[in-house]
Amino acid sequence: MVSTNEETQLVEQLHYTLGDLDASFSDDLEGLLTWLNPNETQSNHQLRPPILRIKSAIKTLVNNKNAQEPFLDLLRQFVVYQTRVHFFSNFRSLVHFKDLQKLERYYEFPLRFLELFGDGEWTEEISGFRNYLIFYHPVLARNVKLRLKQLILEDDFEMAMKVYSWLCSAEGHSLTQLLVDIILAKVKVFASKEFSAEFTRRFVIMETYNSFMASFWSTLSTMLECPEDNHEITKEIYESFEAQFIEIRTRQAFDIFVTEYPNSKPTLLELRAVLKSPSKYTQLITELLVQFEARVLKPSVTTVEILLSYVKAIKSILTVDISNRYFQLLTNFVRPYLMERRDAVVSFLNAMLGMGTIEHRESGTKVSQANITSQLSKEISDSYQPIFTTTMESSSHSQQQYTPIRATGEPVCSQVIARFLEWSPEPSDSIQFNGDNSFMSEGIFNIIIELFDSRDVIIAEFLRLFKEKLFNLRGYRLETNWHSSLKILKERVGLNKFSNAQDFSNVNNIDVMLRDIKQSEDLCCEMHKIPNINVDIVPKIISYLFWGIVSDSESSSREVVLPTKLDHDMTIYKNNYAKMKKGRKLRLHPAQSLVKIRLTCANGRTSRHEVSMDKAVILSCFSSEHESKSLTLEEVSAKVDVEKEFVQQVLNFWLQASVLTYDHESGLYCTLDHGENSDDVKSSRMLGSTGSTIHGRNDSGAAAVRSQQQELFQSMERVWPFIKGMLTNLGSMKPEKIHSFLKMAVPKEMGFTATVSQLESFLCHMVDENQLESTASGAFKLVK
Amino acid sequence: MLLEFEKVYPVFSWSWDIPGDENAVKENGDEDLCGICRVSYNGTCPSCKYPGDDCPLVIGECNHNFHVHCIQQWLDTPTAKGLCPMCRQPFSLKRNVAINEFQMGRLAKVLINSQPATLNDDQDMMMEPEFVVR
Repeated sequence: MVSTNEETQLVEQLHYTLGDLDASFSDDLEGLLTWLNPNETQSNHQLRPPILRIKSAIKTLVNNKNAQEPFLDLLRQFVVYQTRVHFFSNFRSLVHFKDLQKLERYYEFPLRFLELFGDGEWTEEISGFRNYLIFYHPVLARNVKLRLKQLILEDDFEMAMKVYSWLCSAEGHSLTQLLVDIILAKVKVFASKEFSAEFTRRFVIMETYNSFMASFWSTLSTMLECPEDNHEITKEIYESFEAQFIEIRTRQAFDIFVTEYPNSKPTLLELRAVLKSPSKYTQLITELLVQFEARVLKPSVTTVEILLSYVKAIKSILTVDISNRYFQLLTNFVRPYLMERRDAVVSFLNAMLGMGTIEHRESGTKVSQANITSQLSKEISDSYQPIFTTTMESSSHSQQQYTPIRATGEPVCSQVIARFLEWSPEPSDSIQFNGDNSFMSEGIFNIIIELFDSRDVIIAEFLRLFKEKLFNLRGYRLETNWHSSLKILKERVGLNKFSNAQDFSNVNNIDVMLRDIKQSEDLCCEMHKIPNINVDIVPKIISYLFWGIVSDSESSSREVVLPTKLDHDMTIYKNNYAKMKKGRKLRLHPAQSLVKIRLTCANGRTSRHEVSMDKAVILSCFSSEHESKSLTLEEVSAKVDVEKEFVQQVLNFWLQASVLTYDHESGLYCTLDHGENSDDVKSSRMLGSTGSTIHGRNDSGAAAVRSQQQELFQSMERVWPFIKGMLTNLGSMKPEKIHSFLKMAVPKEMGFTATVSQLESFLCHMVDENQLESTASGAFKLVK
Repeated sequence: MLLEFEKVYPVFSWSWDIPGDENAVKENGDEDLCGICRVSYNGTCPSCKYPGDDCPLVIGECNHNFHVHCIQQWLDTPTAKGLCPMCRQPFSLKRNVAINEFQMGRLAKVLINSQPATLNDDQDMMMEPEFVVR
């Protein structure tokens, strides 16, 4: 080690002060100085107790009553000097707290064996170093603070205490703010562990807070050097728990609002209690919407699932949001997406009618789908109740408890101003819907209804389902779910408010239908009393105008020629009707009629089918007592007097039901009389109305899409004059606007059902046709 | 293979059995509408809810058909003078038509009251109830 001037001087002075003794103790002194010197890394103490020679040197030179004060003073100077030299040449290499500890131990170690420094002297020296480090070694300072945080987070309070006291001595004062920050960070970690998956427990915040306090508060309060009943800090901790709760729940918005909904009610209620500022609400709802879009509004999610999610979300929002302002945001958000789904209304009505389990399964829907539908119907079924707004009262109650004195630091007058005179409006996005009590009292059901474009859509769709149901009725009795649904719709959707002529006629139609069924039952009873009448025939006699059925010329092409026996029976019924109801006649509608048939094969196998009458009649051409019959398409068509396309469709239906086979070479359809694969023959439950889904066999996917598009364009051609008209008047328009205009303008009889995207594809098609041109903003205008 | 109908649930639609209707050529679709309310024969007059028994049809001698409520109301007005609103011939119910059977009595009174005061002999006869149907 290169000795500096100061060092050499000090050593010389030390030798000098020894005076006479120097001669005999010079070597001892040298040895001692080397042993003490932190800079002599190779030959100093190296954290080991002194060897005998050094020990005796210490004994004679230092720990001796005769030791002279000037000598000791110089020795002190020497140690301090050497330590400082070592410190300043080495402190840059300090990175972590443990390096610090090591260094301090290194410095202090030899002093344990020397009675050199008084009580405060050395501590002061060390504090000086610490202080220097805090200000001139930011990396270390940061590391130490991080270490403290880490230790507290890891519950190692013993070590934390050491680090903390080190920091305090370095800074020269207690670091309450730092410690509180760390505590709050700890709260955060603790909270996220406790809150994350607990949706079913009540008072989670309180319980978590309590358990936190029970485990840590006594230690922490010692560290903070505050009494355990310091409520300023405990309150802050509690508020921090609340804030954490809100933050975590906001992140989990979708899970608690939708996925876990009925189970997550406790947490929703708790959330309501802690959510105070509108901005937090907005944040929560925004997050929900974002997650809702990401997880539900996707093409792969079925409409029923979307509806279920929507209903759950609405219920959750209403649980959380006492002001009933925010659910409208969700409705507005989901509506455009759902409008693209044509089966939205049907899914909703199916669920409402509780058909998730019964009729859906019949038509071959997947079980999981049916499950979701039944879940949805459960959710809807309890939505008819008015929404209770007891929470409103409780919230206003808590307002009154507001303490007038907020903080002692502020003058009272400014507090009063802040309390009563300063008012900042709620964020405008939250007041789109004005909480209307009458609206609320009608219940969640109406909110769900709001989701759909208009009530007419629902009514029309219900009417269609209702009609189908009545046609497929096997007797005259309607299930209770239909009755109750009808009642609800009448009450809720305003079916009986007669807001316009269309509604009126819809209601009227339903009433007439029900009456027709009732009268049919009476008539049927009467007729079955007539001797020799076939009582296996249960007729429905309808007022066709009210059932949306075309009675005359147009449908006559479907007037199939019935088998003799059936035709005879039908004629009997017709004649009897003419006798009972003077001046009226009957006309059969085979497509709407339903029959149960039994097929008996030559090998004795029988199967039963329930199909529409026209299908059965076409199949009956193949009926024969003994041998199997083979007929061509043309022969069948001629026999039943129905156009070929329809016969083809029906024959395909029977092919799929494994009743007929088709021979490509001869073009003959033949009954599957001797088929061994009787197991494959499944009883087909296809009804007349669903039969239309069966396409020709060689319909490939692409062709189907093309034909669908063709169909769409054809239907759109009808509304083309409307579009043209509005573009002539208004210049360029966006598809959404055109869509909403069309909805208003196109008469109901024409039936405009296309979605926005379909309309857009049609408009693009018209651009290709040079009828329209599209503008940069996505609008369309007429070609000039 | 033998096909048997085990159970049949036929759907019939009823309509008014108007004689000669089958052969009538429908030119513009107007044929089927009540000349007064312009609603189909098989529908209801504006004041009725249920078609059929509640709102029957009547066939005039002049082969103009109306909902009974419509023609009744028409004949009740002084300007009607017992004439068919379509062809201005004296209105009376066609005989031997099943539809009209139940409506005879109902319309008779109305028809008598609505006859104009000055009538020739021929028309006088119609005032007697039994002559309402010619």
